[in-house]
Amino acid sequence: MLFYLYIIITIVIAAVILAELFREKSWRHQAAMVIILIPLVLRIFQIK
Amino acid sequence: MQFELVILLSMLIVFAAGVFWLKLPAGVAMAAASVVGALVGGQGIPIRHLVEGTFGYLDAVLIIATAMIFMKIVEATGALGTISYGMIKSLYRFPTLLMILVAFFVMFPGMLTGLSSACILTTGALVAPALVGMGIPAVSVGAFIAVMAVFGMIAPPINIPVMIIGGGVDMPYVGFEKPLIFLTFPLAIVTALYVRVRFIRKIDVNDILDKLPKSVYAKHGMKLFLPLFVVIGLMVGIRVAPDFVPDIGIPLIFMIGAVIGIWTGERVEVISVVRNAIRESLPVLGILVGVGMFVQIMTLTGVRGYLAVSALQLPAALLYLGIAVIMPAMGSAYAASSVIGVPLVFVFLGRNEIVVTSALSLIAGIGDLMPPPSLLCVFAAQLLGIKNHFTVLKAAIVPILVALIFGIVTIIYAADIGSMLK
Repeated sequence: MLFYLYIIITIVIAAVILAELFREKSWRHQAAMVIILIPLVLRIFQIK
Repeated sequence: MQFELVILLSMLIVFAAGVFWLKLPAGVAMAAASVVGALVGGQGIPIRHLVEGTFGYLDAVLIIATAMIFMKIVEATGALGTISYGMIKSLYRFPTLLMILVAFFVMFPGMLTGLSSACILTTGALVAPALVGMGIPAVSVGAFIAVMAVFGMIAPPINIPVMIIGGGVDMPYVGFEKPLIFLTFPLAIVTALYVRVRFIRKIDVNDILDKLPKSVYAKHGMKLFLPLFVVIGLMVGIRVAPDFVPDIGIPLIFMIGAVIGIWTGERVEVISVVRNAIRESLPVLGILVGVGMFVQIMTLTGVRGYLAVSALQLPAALLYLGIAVIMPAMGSAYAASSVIGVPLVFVFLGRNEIVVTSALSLIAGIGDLMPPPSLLCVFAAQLLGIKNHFTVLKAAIVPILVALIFGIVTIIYAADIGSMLK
């Protein structure tokens, strides 16, 4: 149960960052968002 | 010159060039420095290690993101504004007590989120007009809020620099509450008294209340504070009654508080508030991921071991001076904690490591005020409409020096302080 709740929390955070990534105009800030997304996406898909 | 030193210098040069020359966010500059460090160290581009590094502070990333969502929702419900209004209205006759409570109020979001900027963006913004109305010059208000933001970040229950140092030396984040209270609460009180004695003469309460967001207590009652009670209750319950309150983790506690908060006060535009919260926490989240990569590559190339061994060989007097100067000079609590904080814990092995780590986190925390980024001074200056943020830093010099001296003395007497706090 706890595991799935944390996956949901991670999905929510990743989704908001992804939405911000597409709205952002500066490539510098987009790069920062991409590196934040790496661990979140890998954890959501249980790759790592 | 040692080869590890060459690797470290190359990483630091790339980091500095990225931040100052290419104007990259600190997290991206750290990632770039990590790639260069690995190349110079003869490791090629070790994708596996770089990705592994991004997971180094995933728990802190989740805590910060959820804590910011919680704080923004609590702010949107009107709860924070109501506390600020009520505090000034009921305590304006007792300015000394009022200043101490304002200090703790400003610290509060930092204590829960571990983020210094959260203090300035939420509670700091709420009390700033009131403090100016009390006769404190704008630069001193900015300095007061910025310094309280540092103390809030260091105060328990959440202290990210301690988590970063602990992650580097395999020390669990347990038992830090008393040392962190010992380090931050007296400093906050002394700073509040300093500002009170220096600036506050006569308080025109009506003028101040006009500048504050209005209280919505009459409309919503005690229900308004339910999310705060739930979050604090769960955090305390886990420690005090672990048989009855399961440890569900801090991010989930904040999310429960945030969900409850949606229905306890003024109408909350949930999507907009959540987006704002994540957007404001992005710079810090990026730094944490970048720091993770940086530390991973330092470990891979032997730089971390080299730093630890070198630090062990420094003479004591030079060591304390070095800690007080170099840690804040890194300009970021997280960078100072990961790069210098971790090896320093090994230097002081045999004293009380929990007290030593707590004191190191306080000294590292001062880095958030320092140039080149001067992040907190910039935020505080923006908040108060001050053009030159260095004036805010200048006004904060006395509390900064007191905090640094207190941190160093705590390290020197860590064993005795540890026994006293048991």
